[in-house]
Amino acid sequence: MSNALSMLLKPAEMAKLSRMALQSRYVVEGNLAGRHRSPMIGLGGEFADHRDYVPGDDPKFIDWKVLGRTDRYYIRRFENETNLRVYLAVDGSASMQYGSGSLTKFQYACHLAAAIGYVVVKARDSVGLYLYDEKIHTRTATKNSVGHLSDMCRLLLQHKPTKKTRTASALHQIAESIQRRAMIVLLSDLFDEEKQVTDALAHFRKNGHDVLVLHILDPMEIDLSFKRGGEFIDLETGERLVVDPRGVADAYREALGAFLDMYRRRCSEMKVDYRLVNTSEPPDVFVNAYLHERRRLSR
Amino acid sequence: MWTFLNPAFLWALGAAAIPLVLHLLQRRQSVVVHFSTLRFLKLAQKKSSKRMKMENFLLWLLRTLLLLVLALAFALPVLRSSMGSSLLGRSYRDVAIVWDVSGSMSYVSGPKNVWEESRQVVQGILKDLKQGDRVSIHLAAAEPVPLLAEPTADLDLAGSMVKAQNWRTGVARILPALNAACQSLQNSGRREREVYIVSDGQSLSWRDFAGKSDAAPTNAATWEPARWGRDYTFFAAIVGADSPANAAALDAEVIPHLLMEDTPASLTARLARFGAAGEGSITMQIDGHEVARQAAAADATDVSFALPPLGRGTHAVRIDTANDALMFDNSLHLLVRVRERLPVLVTGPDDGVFFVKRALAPGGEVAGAIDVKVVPPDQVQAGDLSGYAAVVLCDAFPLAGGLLLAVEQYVQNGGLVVLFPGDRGSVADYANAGFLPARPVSLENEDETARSLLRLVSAQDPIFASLKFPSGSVPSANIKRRIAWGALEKDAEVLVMARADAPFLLSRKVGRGRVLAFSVSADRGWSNLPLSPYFLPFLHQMIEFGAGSTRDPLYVWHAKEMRLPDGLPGLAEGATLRGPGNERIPVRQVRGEGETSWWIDDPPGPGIYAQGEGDAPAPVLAVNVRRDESDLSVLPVADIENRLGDADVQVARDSGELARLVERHRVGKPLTEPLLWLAFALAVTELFFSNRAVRRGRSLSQTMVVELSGRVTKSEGA
Repeated sequence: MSNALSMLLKPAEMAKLSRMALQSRYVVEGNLAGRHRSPMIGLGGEFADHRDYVPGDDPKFIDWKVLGRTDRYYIRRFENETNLRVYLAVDGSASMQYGSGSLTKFQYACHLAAAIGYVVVKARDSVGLYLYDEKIHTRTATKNSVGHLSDMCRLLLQHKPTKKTRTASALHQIAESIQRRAMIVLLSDLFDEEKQVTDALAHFRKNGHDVLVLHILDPMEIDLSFKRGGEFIDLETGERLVVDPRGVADAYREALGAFLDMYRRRCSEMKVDYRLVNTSEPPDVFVNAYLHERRRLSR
Repeated sequence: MWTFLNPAFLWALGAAAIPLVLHLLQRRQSVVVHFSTLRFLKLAQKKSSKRMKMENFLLWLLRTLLLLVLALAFALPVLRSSMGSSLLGRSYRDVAIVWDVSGSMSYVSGPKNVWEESRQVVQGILKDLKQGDRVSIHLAAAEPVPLLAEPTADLDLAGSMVKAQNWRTGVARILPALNAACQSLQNSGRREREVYIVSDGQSLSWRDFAGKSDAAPTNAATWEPARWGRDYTFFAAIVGADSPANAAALDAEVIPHLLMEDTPASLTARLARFGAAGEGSITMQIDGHEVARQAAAADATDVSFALPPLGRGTHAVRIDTANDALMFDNSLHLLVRVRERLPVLVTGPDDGVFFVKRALAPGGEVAGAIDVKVVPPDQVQAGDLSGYAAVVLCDAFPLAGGLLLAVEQYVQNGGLVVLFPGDRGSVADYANAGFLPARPVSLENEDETARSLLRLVSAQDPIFASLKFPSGSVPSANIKRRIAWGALEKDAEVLVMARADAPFLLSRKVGRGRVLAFSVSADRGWSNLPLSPYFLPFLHQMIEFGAGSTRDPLYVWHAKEMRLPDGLPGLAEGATLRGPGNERIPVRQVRGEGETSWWIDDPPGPGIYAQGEGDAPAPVLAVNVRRDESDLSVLPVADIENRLGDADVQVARDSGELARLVERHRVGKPLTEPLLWLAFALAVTELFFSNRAVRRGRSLSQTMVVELSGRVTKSEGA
């Protein structure tokens, strides 16, 4: 196992993650025969449904039991399983560099990306990376090897979030670059123009992609539980503001609440899987909980 | 307006700058926080900037005020109205003093001299006044006496008057004097008005406040503190003894009322004790010589003395109780008049007066103690009947108009009239006799063979006092005819009943005299009463005990204007009396409607007043100080405050305490406590305000329900 991946995932986490799976909620097109539903209904695979026999069909697919019951000839049709391609879009802008605890949001996002990528790879699915800030910084192909995942981790670990963010623009570019249906996992704090970002997410959906948004926020960003006032400096713009958070807590809560609520509603409308991730929660806890729920909901 | 008792602490006012300095320091030493985005902070700040500025300003203001108020409180500020007045040109005060000068103020017990203590209090009040202040002084006696009626700035004059003032015999009424004192300050125009009441706290003096005074209700006898306004401050200095004790002879009675040379008599003195007055001896002096002494137990209410045989004339008797703290009531002066003969006028027809004449003067008209004069009704001089001890009317009706009037006046002036009806007059003839105990309504004929037992209804009447009947006998009479009486008049009563429904002897007090009316005649025509063994002693008893009981009072009460009893010999225009200290006292004549009265003004004091020149003038009048003042019951301080009602009143028990109360009133009201309360309120408000941010609202994490998987299941929304 390479060092980059092991820097992000502990062996115990990997062991736990290897027993999990990430399934797409929608039909995807894959390269290999895998377990994900393929739009190609036909030969092999699990029984899907019956159709009337027409001359020329292969008699070995006639369902004899149905003939015995109905005296009519039906052909059994099957769903072919195919593999999943997962694209991890990671926000590497300066705002992701904030963290009040042991992990910054970017580090947390890297950890999540490594975990999700590991699950995907272990399921013999493919994973790729888009790292962006004010533009797409890094792009990789989708592959289903641990070594590829490790390379991705290395790229992530080498990145220093210092630039401004243009999430919407990057997402549109990603949407244009992905030809076949896939699953897009966005890991970002989404501190960008909401309308533009949701339009970009709609772009993905329009193209039939399964989108998962992991909205990563620090607990201080959520609650603004500073004990005293101070001079606040914007990590992206460098702008300064002297404020006592205690005096503006109510208004801040109102504004941020509206921001989060807007994303949640819009994602729900677009059938984008929206998840709010608090960096105070250990990444592995979140991943496990999320994958369990996803699996439960897919049954 | 203001002064500070601890001005050194005013430096702490500089602490009020601390909140501002801290605020400025905090601004300079702001913590720098690198934050992901200022987007929401800017939105929030914009939305709450005004509110935050206001809250910050309020907090700063609260903290600054708190420190200011605390510093002021520790500097002990005092509000002085007099200093304020000096700025406005009205710094002076008007003071009125109500000084109790009643007899109880003469109380002296050991070092405690109530009068002198009260004088010191008054002098102390004057001494505390400043130049320009004014004072009026009102003496609280039976009526208010203005010593200085209107406020005067001549404090030396006031001081000299106080020095010369002495207590007076008689009661004190605080309320009228207090009203007079307040009235004297009403138009002063000054803001500072103080009224001082200097008294011994005797409850008698405060009766007017409780509506219990005997005096006629007047405007002066009601207390309305609202009438005087809030500019008045009242001080009461109660300088009396805490538990005063006193014993006094309140009254005396001589039985029989009319003394003859050979009449045994007794004198009974009624005693009163107040407080812890113990037992003591009571002495009786007659004409300056002690003739008897008796020990009186602590709970004794009266003491009796047997009067020794006294010669004809007027004798000065004095009853002395043991000396105690209140001296003016230790002696009770009496005049006992011993007569040689008792002149009685009997009028009526010969047969009507026969038995009466024989009964009153068994040996004839002149012999004996009772000097009987029999005159037919038409020959009775309608002039002055006052020389007679009693007038007996035996079948005398109808009376001529002039005689009827003379008889009525005689009774009014203290005479005794004994009436026997008869055949001469009809029931209608008595109609104009307004002095009768009841109006005769009819003549009733009875069965003369029937014996009517005579029952004494009022056996305690002095007439029956020493009346003794032969052993085994019961007074009775055979009645042939009698008067039936109508309803009893005012002050009338039945003394003897013949049967359950037949009054036999009626009595009525008329003026200062008395009328006794029989239902049967004095002859044998109506009954066998004249022949009964009871007739003679009964008649003698009536004359001796009934006559003169009110004509010659044993003593009179001292008063500023004293009316002399009617009938005093030697009274004429320009006459004088001699006082107890041999001082000459002019007598004043007053002519009224149909009567002439004699008065003396400002009599010197209690004792025997005499008339005549030479070394042994004849005693004619015994004067005593009213015993009202002998009751030294003390009014509790709380009751004094209650009686003064809503007025701003402060009560002191001695001159030292009074001085402290006055100083506190004049120096001003310390404001430390109100300031500390204000500081407390500011601190609580600051605490509430400063923690409001902490308590304000719930965090987003609390309002949003986010599962472990990141699913947002509940949000309270923006």
